[in-house]
Amino acid sequence: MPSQTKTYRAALIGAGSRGIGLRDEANQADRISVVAAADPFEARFETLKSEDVAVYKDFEKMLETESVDIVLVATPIGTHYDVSKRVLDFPITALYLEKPMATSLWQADELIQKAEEENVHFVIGHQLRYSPGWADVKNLLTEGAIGQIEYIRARRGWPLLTHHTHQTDLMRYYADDSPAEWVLGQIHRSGSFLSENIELEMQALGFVQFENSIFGIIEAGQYKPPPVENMVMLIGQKGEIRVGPDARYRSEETNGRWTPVPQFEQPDVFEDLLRWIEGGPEHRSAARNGRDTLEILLAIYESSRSRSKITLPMERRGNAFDEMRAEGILP
Amino acid sequence: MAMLKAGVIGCGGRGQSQARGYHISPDVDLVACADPVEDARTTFAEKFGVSRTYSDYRQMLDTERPDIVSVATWTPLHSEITIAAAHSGVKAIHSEKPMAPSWGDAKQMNQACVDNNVVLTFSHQRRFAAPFIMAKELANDGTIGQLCRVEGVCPNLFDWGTHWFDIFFFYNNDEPAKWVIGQIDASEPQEVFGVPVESSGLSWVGWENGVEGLLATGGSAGPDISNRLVGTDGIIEIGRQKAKPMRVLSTKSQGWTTPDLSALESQGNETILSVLDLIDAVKNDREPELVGWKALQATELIFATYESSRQRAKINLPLDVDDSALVTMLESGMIGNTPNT
Repeated sequence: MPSQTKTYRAALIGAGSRGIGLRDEANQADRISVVAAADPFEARFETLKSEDVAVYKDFEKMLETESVDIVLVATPIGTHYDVSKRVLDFPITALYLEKPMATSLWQADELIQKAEEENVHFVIGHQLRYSPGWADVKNLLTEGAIGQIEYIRARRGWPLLTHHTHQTDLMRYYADDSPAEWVLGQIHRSGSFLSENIELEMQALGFVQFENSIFGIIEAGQYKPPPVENMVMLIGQKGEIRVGPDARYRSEETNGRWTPVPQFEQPDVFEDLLRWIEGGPEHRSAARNGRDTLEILLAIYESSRSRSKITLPMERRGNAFDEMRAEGILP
Repeated sequence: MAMLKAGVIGCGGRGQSQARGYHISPDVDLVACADPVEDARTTFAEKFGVSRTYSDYRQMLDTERPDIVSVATWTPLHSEITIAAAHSGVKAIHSEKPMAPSWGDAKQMNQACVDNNVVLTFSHQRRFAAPFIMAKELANDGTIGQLCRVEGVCPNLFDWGTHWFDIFFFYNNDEPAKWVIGQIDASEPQEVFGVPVESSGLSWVGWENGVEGLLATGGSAGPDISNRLVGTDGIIEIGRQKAKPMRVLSTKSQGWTTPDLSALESQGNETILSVLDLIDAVKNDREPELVGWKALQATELIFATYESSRQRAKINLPLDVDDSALVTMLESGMIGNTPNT
């Protein structure tokens, strides 16, 4: 067992803006030190070099040379699977992979299986489960502020895989990560639409029935939503919570008035990873959660493709959006 | 004004419900009824003191020359009967919902009435029911701030959903809708009054004025809420429990409150009120509340949702296909128990 005073050496793969942000977040943990970074674009190295970070063009070379405990992967989405699969060949303790973990279920499952075999603590970057505001709602729910949740509606003005994955993941977090029984959904795309450099849908709609009888509504896309975007709304038997830039709720107890969601103490996302590594409770964003979130998003694509309700676990392991584009069903 | 002569086509439960309206109106003589089933028309005739019954509705139209006709048959016959009645010289037609099995039929039956100067109404009678009238009032008088969103849950988009789509328009003052995106699942298709419906469905609607709506259908489509209206400052819920049909959460209402519906409820049965409103509209040459163009708005959302499933896309209104995508896809095996795709 690693000792609780151990300092963890970490390496970053993908030194774009998200990667640098991730590096900074990891470094905030007292016992994590990001010592190396890899990126094919050397232009990104200037700042890192000045901060005594060893830089590599080739991440495999980096992992062969540097002995690291934690690897942070913030490469383009389309490379998450290939890069992470290779990373898991090295003797590491933890892998932090940006969301979405992959673009198909078979990829996600393969990574999870490999991480388990190699005894690697595998986390996906759905860090809103730790962010003030978003995460505080979970505590408020536990206190019974709006009674039993009836449904959760999550909307985001961007596509499912690149952005709504956060809101869908929060929906699952608020619903106690209850397994989804089925998904019904639809997408819209009238031409090329790039999000984080991958072709995706312009609008999406999903209905998710969770086993614990909560149901979720997923609304995503470029439709100029009124009155606000990037929001998760929870309707309970006693009231309502709206989580977004300002988290607030109203219920009988608040006399129907909007009241700020109180602040609760939230663990740091990387400190919590160390706790998990050192025998503590599972990380809130453990890969199995990232995988279940991905399955819901992919089920929306599959529902559009098959024009039917998709029972989970999904039989098809691919990505129906990509399949429909390949077949010319989608532009 | 001379008494208006009314005839009812379709003598089952809904035909009888509508007949009660004609029966109690001082302005109408319920003169005849038509139904191919002898038992049905005999029972009807006895109940309402109607002396002449017909097995063929065309014969009733020709012989009786009624001023008002009720169409309370199974849905696939609505269009044919309404068009025949419109050409027979009636003043008004009150048809059961849903309008017709396809968008083309629905438009045709409305157009036949417009062309022949016939007042056409559909029994979207929720517009005369207490909780819905109260909800519309509260949604528009500032109680819940500005109305942002309307939600509904029911068994299917077509037979019951037509009520909720209609009532969404009612809440939103019959503003035009702009787009629909949705999905249907017909892996266990069912039939309601001769028309196939989905086993579960989802329809997201955007209105020109920015209000949005969501209708979820199917056996397990959410909690026991019929309608929910969400405003900037409050929520209205309808149909939560039978004992407490409605509740409102508003910054002005100090927590959840239950509006007093007794005054509205005392006005009577909503189906009868619908018929009386049509009679009054005919007498006073005004537009009735349940006029055809409003029913068309709701009906367009049904078929646009089906079309969204077929096209795998958002559908901008007006809808430009005339068939029912659900029926066409079922018939061609694209969806259903064992879909081809």
